[in-house]
Amino acid sequence: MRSIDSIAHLLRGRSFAKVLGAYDYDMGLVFVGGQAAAAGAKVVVFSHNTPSFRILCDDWGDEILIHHNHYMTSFLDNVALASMAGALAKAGAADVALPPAELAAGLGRKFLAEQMFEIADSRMARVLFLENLIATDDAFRGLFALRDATPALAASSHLFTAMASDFLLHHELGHVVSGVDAFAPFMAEALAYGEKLPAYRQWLPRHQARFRDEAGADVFALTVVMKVYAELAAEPTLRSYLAFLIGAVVRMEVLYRMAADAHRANVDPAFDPGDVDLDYAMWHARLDVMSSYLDGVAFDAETVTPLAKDAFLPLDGEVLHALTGTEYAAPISPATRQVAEAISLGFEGQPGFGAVIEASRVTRQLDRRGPGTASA
Amino acid sequence: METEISGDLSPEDVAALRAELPGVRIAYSTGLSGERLLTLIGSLTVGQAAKLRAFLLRLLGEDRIEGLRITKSKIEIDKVSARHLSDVEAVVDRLLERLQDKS
Repeated sequence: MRSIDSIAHLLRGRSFAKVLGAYDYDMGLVFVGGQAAAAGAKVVVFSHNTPSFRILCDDWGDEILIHHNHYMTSFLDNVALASMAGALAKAGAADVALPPAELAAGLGRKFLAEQMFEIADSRMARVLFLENLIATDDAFRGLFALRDATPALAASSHLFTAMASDFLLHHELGHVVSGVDAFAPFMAEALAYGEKLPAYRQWLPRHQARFRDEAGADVFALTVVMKVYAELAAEPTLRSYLAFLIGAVVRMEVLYRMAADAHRANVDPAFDPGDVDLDYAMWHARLDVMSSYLDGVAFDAETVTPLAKDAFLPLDGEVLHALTGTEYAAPISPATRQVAEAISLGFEGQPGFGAVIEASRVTRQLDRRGPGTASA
Repeated sequence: METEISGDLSPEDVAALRAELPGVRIAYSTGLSGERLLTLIGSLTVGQAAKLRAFLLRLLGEDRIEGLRITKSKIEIDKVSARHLSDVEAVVDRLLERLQDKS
């Protein structure tokens, strides 16, 4: 583990809510032999939990800082946990307080509320956050206790979250090492598919270039996660967890954009949320490319050879629709809305609501030393 | 002095700027949604300031800059949208004036 002081020169001008640690990333874990050298610069992974921060990579030329933002990983962890626990409950193996779709809907609305609050304090952000906290917090704390008490759930949840963490990390490395030959054929095929999508042909050349850049990094990250986790899981687990992961990542990104648009529509008409429609279309196309790539790749001796079988719990992507598919501004119930409104009034024109959000978090830190080595 | 520039910047832009401004630390930051942010730390000579000015004006002319921001200075130019700038050259000149003040 590195000291934060040793990378302070890389962190200038940045503000992080909660710093968790830093370590040198061993590129040899992913790129065997000479391919590691091809990547060039020294890579440091910096772990923190910062809701307001969207940057995941700072390239200083001779050093590269990859941000492991636990705020994002936690969201992905929670939605997968809701799905897994729901499957256990359906099989009669556990009791959960709320069905997975309700948990996911609450998680999505709470995330949206937090992101609205990051833009600016508003009654709507406070009420939305409080209402969903009231409606789902007890159930989520029950899920965390269930995970601690159920080895199969703990192992499955841990596997998914480590995959999610590695996907985000290697997306950024994908920008840095996109020239590595071993991955070039995979990336070229996926990008060729993306360039045939109807949306792609309607974009300006600079938007097409951005799409190619990001989709290439997506496919690179998927490839790395497939290769690393094939040693730990069987093919059905690998495919279903990756499909769930890319669906959850895309919906998380849509929620970031929804928050900006909701702030403009409900709080500040002068706020410029950027080109929301373009961003939605681009994420839709990126999901299309990733899904096509995942569906098309054959697992064999030429690519990856997963375990013959494993004991991980199934992960059903149906729950993902609830993340962004609900009417976010509608009350969950008259009672929850009333309580949320009453508490929110106490913060009208007053600072301090950020502390309420912060106090609601349950910290569970992954100890990362490299791909596939996370532990709870 | 730190300056942030966000927009549709490419790795090639960054490499070119690094070659033009030796001694200035330049970070090229990216995010999952395609965020692109350039951070410059350090003071500039008059010659380097002229090069940075030409670089910024070229990007602005190509409508590739979304915002400029100087942080940790007494006079701040808030992050602005290039679409709303009535005189982009004036903004760039103010930016460079601030950078050279510290050199």
